[in-house]
Amino acid sequence: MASAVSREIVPGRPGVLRTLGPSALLLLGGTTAFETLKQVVYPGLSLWQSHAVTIVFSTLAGTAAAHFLLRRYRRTRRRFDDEMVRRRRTEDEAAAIEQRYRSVVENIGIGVAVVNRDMSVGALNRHMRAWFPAVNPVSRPVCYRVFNDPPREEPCTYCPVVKTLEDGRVHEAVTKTPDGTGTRSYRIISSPVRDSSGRVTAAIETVEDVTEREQAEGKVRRSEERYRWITENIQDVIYSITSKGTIGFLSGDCEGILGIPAGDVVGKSLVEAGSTVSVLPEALQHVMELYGRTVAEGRQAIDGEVRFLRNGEVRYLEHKGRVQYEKDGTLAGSIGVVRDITERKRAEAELGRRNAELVELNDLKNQLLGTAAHDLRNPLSVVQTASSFLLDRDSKLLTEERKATFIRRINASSQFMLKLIDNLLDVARIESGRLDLELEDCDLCGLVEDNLTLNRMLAEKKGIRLDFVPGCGLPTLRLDSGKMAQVLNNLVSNALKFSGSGTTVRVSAARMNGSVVVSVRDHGQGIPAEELEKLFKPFGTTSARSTAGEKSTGLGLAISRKIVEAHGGTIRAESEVGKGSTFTFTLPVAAAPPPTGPGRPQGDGR
Amino acid sequence: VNGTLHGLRVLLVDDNVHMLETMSDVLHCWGARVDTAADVHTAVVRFEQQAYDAAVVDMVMPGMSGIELIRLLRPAHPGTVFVILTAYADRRSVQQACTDENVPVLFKPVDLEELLRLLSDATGAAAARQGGAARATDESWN
Repeated sequence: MASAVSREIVPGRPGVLRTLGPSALLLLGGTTAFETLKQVVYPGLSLWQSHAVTIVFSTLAGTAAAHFLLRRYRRTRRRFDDEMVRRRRTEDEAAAIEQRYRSVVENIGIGVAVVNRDMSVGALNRHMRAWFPAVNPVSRPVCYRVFNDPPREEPCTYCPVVKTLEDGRVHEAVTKTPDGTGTRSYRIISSPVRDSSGRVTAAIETVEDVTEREQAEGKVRRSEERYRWITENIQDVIYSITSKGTIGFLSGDCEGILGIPAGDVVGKSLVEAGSTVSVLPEALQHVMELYGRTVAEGRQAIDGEVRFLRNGEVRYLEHKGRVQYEKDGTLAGSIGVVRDITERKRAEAELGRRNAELVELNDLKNQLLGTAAHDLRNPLSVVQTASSFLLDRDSKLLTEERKATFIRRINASSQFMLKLIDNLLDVARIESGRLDLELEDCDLCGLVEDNLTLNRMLAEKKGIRLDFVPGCGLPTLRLDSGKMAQVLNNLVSNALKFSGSGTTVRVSAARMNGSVVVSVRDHGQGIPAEELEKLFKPFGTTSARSTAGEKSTGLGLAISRKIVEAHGGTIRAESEVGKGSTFTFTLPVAAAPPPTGPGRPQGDGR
Repeated sequence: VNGTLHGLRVLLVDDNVHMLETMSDVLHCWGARVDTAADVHTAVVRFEQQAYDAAVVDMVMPGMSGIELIRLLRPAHPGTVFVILTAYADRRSVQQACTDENVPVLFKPVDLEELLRLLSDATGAAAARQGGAARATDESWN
């Protein structure tokens, strides 16, 4: 603005030149013309004629010159007036602009103050005056005294005005001032004011109350943090799909659940994303169909389960989504949550399997109970029938011999019942895992010999030969001798039970590949192959009939198997109908069952 | 009680030998002529050898149940009275099976009076049958 004014105000010299130049030329031309007139015209004229010509010429020339000069003056004068009008208008505009600026500064919603180099307050706007009504710039008060309560004796350490006055740059600071209800925050920005030489003469200080803004920002920041924390820490994936069918947003444990970073699929269409995360094609097809159907029917909820292949491992995802529509019903997109339910599925399957197992076990128990009751009822019936008959008033008609037979049967039946009950208790103990082995170093051959001695009398009575073939170099085994004797007795007495007169039952023991193998072979009627399987199950009796009406509890082999297995061994049966059966059990030489006895000392395995 | 079943031919079928012998003695004391079979096969053979007025059959036996045995024998022996004996604890299902086959059932331990009643009916039926047969024979002779 200043340069524009100077160009208009100083046009003087070119104006003078423009006026004087043509005037001089005019004078010179007139003089020259007069001299020429005198030389050319005058000689032919008389004196008065020449005077007359001179007068006419001079008058004409003078009039022309005066006219020219007047026109010049007028033009210059007009220009000057125009210039003056323009200058006045410009000054008015400048004043108006200044007034506007002043008004803005005065009325702006932040405090503005001018601080001079000597830290005195030069000016305050209205806002600042409202904060500090006692401050009067006319008395040039020092800013740090009047702007602080209580007044300070030196500038604040953070003061941006001090810094601006020092280095001429813009500085900023936020101060916190205690208030009646809490702390208020003010942001101070200080800008330099320079004179025409560039020297900083003052600083303009703007002060803004940013308490609400800070609180709002804090709220937003905390909300964002909370949201980020939730999305980053939940076990689910939250997604959004745009109306164009691309993934707009993907958050949560994306890598953990989908096996890919969110960045790899955001912005892609579902099909592209599907190929990235290798959703099983049929699963993806299912999802797309579900989505399409939901949109076509204008429904909102899309829920379902998706089978999914992650790094070659089948995972199950549960999907809960919601399709969103605009007000006019057009598709706006969808949002949803995807949760990995593989573990839950596995747990459910495991639970189902265990439940089925328990049901089966329970059925087995009921069956066992039913069979046990049935098998007890038979001997009980004998006892009942025989005793009631003996008590009958007509029993005196019975011979003494017959009475004795009845009593023998009662005795035998009750003994059988006792044995059955003992065996049932054994089975119950074994099934509940309470088979406690009392392990001791044991000579297996001695155990077999003892057992054969017990059974030899019965064998002789039935005319059966009972042999023992002990192998050489049988080691001492760590066994529960009582339980092992039970196994041996069961196998040998079974062999005798189903053998006919004149046959041989042979027991052999031998060492074989780190095990001791004991087998009991008979030449009885044999067991059909299809019945071998159930032989070792409780009450798994076969169609084979004992040769002298001996009875079986149906539990002996089941108990034997459990005892052998508790010793870390195995038991099996081979048989051929009409030729006989062989029952074989193996016991590991070095093994002591881990839960029961202490381990064998090293090098004791021989 | 003795002699009540005089002359009645009874077959006992039970795989429990003690039971078989005890019942045999009891029926013997009642005056019946008793045969025993410890398994299904023997029972069938006995029936092939002679006719019986009554058969007391155990329900649970290896190879074939008592009901199945009765189903097998009955068509060829319409005059025989069959009675099932069982040690089954599940009375209802056995009762149902026996009612379906129209066979009276007794649960072990055996109620001897009930057994005697059932077999006495058989004696009456046998006597009537014998009478009828005699008459028929007479008629044929005439």
